[in-house]
Amino acid sequence: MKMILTLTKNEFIKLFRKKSVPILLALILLLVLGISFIRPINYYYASEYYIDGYYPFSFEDQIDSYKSQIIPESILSEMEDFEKANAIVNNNINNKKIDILKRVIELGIKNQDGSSNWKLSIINNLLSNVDAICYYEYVNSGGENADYYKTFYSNEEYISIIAEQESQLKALEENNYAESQRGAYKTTLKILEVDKTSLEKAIAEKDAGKDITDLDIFKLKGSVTCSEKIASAYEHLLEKKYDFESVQNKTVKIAINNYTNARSLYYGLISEEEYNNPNDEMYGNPGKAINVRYDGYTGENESYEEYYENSLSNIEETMNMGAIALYSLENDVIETSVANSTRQKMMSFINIFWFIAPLAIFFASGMVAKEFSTKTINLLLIRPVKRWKILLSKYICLFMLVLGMIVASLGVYLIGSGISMGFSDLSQPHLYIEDGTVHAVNFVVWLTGRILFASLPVFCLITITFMLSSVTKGSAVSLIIGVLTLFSSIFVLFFYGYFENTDMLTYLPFSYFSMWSYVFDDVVFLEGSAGSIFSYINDADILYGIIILAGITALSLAAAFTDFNKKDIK
Amino acid sequence: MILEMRNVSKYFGSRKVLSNVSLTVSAGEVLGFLGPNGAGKTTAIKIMLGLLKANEGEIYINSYSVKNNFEKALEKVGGIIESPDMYNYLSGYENLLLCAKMHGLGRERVLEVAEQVKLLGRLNDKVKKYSLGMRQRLGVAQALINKPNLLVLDEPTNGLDPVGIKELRDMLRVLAKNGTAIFVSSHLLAEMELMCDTLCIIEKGVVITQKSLSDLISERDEDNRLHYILSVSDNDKAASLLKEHNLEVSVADNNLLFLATKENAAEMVKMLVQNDISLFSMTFEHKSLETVFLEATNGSKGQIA
Repeated sequence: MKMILTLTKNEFIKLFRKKSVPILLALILLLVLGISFIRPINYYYASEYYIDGYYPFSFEDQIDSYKSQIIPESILSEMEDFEKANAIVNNNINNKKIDILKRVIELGIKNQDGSSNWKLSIINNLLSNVDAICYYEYVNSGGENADYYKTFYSNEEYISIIAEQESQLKALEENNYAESQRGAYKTTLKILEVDKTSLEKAIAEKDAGKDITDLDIFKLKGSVTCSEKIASAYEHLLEKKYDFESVQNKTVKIAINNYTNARSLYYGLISEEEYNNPNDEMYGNPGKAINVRYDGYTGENESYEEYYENSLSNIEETMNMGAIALYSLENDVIETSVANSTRQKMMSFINIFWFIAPLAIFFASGMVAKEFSTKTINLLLIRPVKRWKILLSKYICLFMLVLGMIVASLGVYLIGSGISMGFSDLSQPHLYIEDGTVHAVNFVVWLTGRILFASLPVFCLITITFMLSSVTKGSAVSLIIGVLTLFSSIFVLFFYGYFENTDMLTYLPFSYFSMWSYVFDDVVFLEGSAGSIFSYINDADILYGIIILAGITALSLAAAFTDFNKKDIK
Repeated sequence: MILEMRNVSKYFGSRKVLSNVSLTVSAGEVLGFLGPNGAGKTTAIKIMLGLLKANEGEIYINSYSVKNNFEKALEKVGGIIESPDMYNYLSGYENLLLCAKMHGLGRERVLEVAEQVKLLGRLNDKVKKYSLGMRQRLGVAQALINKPNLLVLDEPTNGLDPVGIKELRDMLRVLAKNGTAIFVSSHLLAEMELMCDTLCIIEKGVVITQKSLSDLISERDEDNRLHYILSVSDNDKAASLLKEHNLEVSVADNNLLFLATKENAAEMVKMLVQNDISLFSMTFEHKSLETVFLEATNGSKGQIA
């Protein structure tokens, strides 16, 4: 043991006294530092501006445009019946819109002011709601020919629209974004009430022996849960008055969106009977899409069991996202992906492996072969030390060098990212979900674990190269084969089309040689996906990847040691 | 016995490069391993030091089998194989320290051997700046680092200037005197003659002979008798005394010549002295090593023995 330690130390001396090694290491660390300073673009806000914030006309121009649409009294009096009623409502609408815009101008809101962009979308909303409200008021006040509009919206819907209008106006007046969502919150509460009532009713009917299935109850229960969660997300927003552009507001939206999706997925679940007897109705029913029996991935019809299982896992996935979003709101933490966070930046460290791996392969290629080419192997092997100890010490040295390179790069990346994006974010946890419960774990610890996990292919590659370096005694040939092995993970992409059964890629080692690309694929993130170019070519099974890489590593080591022990040093 | 090779054979593919090689070196002995280029000298050395595996036969160093107990067998061995290649980008000191550590030794021992090979002044220079002679010294230094009792040197005088060669020779002598067994391979006959006690001649992988230098070069007849040449005070008296002991005696160039075995000659010298004859010099006729070598490598075994 002591001898192996001494030998390893010797190897380190030999390695670091070569000028090329410290220079290369310094270069890679500099490169990593440089990359760590590159700030990612925040696509979220860019898209938000585009969708909601763009307001092309000035409010004054719009007022003029509405004014021009008002039909004067002289023409109005000559109109008849429906046409006239329509014109009256239209005039009301335009007048109301003008009022709103005038108030907006009074409040000093600019039409292309980025910082107030939530207001622009609220104004849009206010203006578009005016139509429905005016029709409702017209009908309610028993205006001329109001009969024409009676079936337009339900009473309840009008009430909720009016409530929304009020809260949104209030939000504008108070410059309080959260308030603008109160209407939506109230609507949610109403939906929740309806869901609860339906559930109670369904349970009662089932107990009374009526034709209510377990699935019906299950769907309603799911809907109730989702509505409760949506309401809870709104409550956080209203209570804590999050800014529109705040990460928390974004989290609120994610929670709401996901639970809303989950709710409609519950709603869309169909029974086996419906599944096997599709009827025309399904065209109008979002839950019964026409390709419901067709699995787009495999191109085969899926059985009801498969459909049901897939639907449930869809629901689970969606609910998981919602749960993580809600957890972060409840605990005042920020989920990694939702903001332009240092943590998110840190995760992009996996791309650095594309630089580390070739360099590591380069170091591995010379490890044994160089001793042969300089004939210094003679100097080593005539010592009273068994050969396997010499080879082992070289391997340990290489392993430590590469491990050190990865850890140092990670450290440099951490410092660079921290300097450019702030260290405080690193105190935020990583959130993950297990059996429906959200847990928080120290991000740096979690990331370090993942990165070490992601470096597995690097260690496999250096072992292959090390073995080749020892067996062939050629550093160039082992370098080339090592690098080609690394890039075989990309080459399979080129030949993707030739694979009749792409599943087989899962069982071939190639795509695992850059497994770091998908170590975050199984992690649930609220925003975007850390998924890689590889995630679409195969459902790379990480566990299988570990087994295959560990297997190759073990075989390479066995080959290297067997050969080295028996080798004739000519 | 420090080194013992027993019937070692080695094949490179189907080619037999060593055939039943047996030889021994004992403490304090300097053995010259002599053979033309390609005779298998380096192969034999590499097998000895565990770089190559013998296909047949066994090698024992300090009674440990190289094959089965490598670490023990090589514990007290130092060697240079072919050219003494070191790490060029390291200094001589660093190179020696790397070697020393593999024997559990440190800085003190490095400085000691550096002084021994007269390299102390340039020890901190990079090896790539060394002349061939200095590299050779460094090679010797690394071989001596563990105070070996068996020193295996492959062509150690390559690249050394005459002064260097002399110094190496003297050093080896001192080492041998202190009990180190030395195994030197070379094809330089003159060097071997000056350096070695025993010579082992190998050709085409076969050991032709292993004998002491004096035995090799002395001319003997069938009865193992040498041609002695004496210079004495009284040739006639001496001749008649020797004849009385049934020896063939003749006088030439004022020298007395007679044929006798070594043991016999010693007795005769005693007898002459006891008979008041002064002995000025005594020698025997011998061949040059070159002759011996050429005879051995061209002819059959019988001619030498």
